[in-house]
Amino acid sequence: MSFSLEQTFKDMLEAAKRVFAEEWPMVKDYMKRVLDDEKEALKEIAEARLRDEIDDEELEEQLKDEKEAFQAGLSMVRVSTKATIQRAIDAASEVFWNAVKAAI
Amino acid sequence: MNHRNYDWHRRSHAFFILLLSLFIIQGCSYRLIAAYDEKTQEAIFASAKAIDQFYGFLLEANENERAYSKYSDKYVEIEAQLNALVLRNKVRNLNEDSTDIAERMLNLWRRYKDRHKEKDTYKTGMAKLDRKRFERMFSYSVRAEGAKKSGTSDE
Repeated sequence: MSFSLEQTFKDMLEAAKRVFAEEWPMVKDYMKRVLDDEKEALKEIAEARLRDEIDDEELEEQLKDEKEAFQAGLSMVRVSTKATIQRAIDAASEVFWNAVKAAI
Repeated sequence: MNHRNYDWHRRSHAFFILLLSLFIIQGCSYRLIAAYDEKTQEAIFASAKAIDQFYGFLLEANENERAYSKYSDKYVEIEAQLNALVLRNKVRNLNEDSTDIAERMLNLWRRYKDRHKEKDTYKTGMAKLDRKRFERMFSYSVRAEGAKKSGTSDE
């Protein structure tokens, strides 16, 4: 079974960009962390296969499980992004409220 | 005199409407995510520790001494802990993403439990990779919960 780490990583990056579309500039940093984690995990899986610590069937299982971990990472990115927007909303609303209170 | 009275009433009425609107705006401030929950954060750390310990003990034993029966109690205990974590996340509004992370961890745990039961052993190579995956997923869960603290940044 052939396995290209670089190709898999590229495909994952493209998939992530598609998911986030216009929000990509805002989520880029969070995504980078998730993708770096993923790259490291895929490297370790590949090395485990090369050392014969896992067989082909187990390699497939590991890749399937990695999809779950990657999706969990995307969920973390979504929360972090929403939290950033939430903080902006809260800050703007506080400024507005303070200005109104001062005017009254 | 009457004209002045009417004007005063009109102004105070407008002022009252303005104040009422502001209270409504403040009360309904737009929310995108659930508020931070300390208990959930503690539950995440507790589950992470339980799973790490599970793999620690498993890896201490030789591969041919890892019969499922030796670990079944721990599997059930940790499954219940993860189930509770899913529920704790699920009952909170605007918390779908954190629930998703918890559900994925629970599903993986069940999958590994079934595999261990079926093969009646747990290969070292697989255990090391699975342990690291959980570590990572728990760190996502912790970061997601931590990001909900107001005025904090994950960076």
